Amino acid sequence: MEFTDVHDIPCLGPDDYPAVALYMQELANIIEAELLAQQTALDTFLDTGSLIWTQTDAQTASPATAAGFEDRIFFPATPSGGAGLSSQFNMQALPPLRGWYYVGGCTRVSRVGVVAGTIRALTLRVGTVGYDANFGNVPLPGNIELASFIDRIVTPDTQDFDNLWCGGTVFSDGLNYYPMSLSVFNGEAVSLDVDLATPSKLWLYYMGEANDIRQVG
Amino acid sequence: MPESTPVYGITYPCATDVIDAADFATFATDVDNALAILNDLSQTALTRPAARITGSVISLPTGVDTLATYIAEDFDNDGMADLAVSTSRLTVQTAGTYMVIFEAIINSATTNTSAAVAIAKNGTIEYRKKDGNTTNSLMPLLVAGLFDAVPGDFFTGLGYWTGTGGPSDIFVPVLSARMVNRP
Repeated sequence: MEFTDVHDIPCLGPDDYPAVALYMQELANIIEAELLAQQTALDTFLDTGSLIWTQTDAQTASPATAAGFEDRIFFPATPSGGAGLSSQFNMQALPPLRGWYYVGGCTRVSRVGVVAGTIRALTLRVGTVGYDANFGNVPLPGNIELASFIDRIVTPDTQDFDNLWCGGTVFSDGLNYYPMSLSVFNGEAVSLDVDLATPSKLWLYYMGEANDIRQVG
Repeated sequence: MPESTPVYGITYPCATDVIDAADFATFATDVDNALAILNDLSQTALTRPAARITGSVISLPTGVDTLATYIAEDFDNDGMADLAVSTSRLTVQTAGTYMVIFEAIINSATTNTSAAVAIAKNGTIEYRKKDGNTTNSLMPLLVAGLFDAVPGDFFTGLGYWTGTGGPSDIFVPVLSARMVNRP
């Protein structure tokens, strides 16, 4: 520190430069830390994760049975290596965030043969279905049926029973795996198959943390 | 030699540097630039690209996927709707993942056997909701789906109907899109 000649007013001098430099360095680091925290929060808000999965394999539901993508989709995305998980699905980028997700599914259902009064139900479900090697028959939190859609063909409709869609919301605790499945039930008693042909899609995106979304009722 | 912080590059002098006004000016400018980055992020968070357009009545022949058309923009904060150029689409201006919803009412006819609404990206249908019907009644339908999109991609909504006594109509179609994630 230096001082003026008459009144000894203090002012910075060359000896003070190191202290000023340290002060500016400390200030820069504090500002950066504060800004980075805000940017991380904003990035998380804007890039919380979404998944669009397209099924390319056709499947068939025999009469009075269901077919679909049971135990094919898991979130959070941490791989467990268990049954039903393939490398394709382990590549999903959804972060293991606790909170609410909006999920949906769509599939094309083509009938085989001439039928009338046929009932087909599309069900979107989150939770185990009782046979997964990871969980056995132990029910998990969130083992719920999100949405179900039932439709039928009437005589003399000659159209394919076309695409169905259903959707809903689900909560993830950020700890457990939640298999997400989309299945089609063929309600016809005899002489009918239901093909799940391409493209079939499942999708989900993060809506927000539990504390930010209030459940009513 | 001055150094800088690793993320935002806020420059500060080292202990052996001679400090002058330019050091403080550089420091302030760097902080200002860092704040500008956050301002942009905040604006994106507050105003995610979103648009909704609504229509009136479109004739719907049987067995044909028919584009819905629109006459009004309810809102549009990213220039996705341009009804002077196209009355049937929302065109993506900002890359990202979009939640797209299309809803419409399919009119009654002599006999309705099925009705459907669908969403297409760049002319290819990716999501459809179809409903059978045994009565001759109006059929309100809604379909929603998630899309990855880049600037120039466009979303359209389509109606579909089978039955007799047509053509049917698409009533009050509504097409909306909202970015839920950046790329």
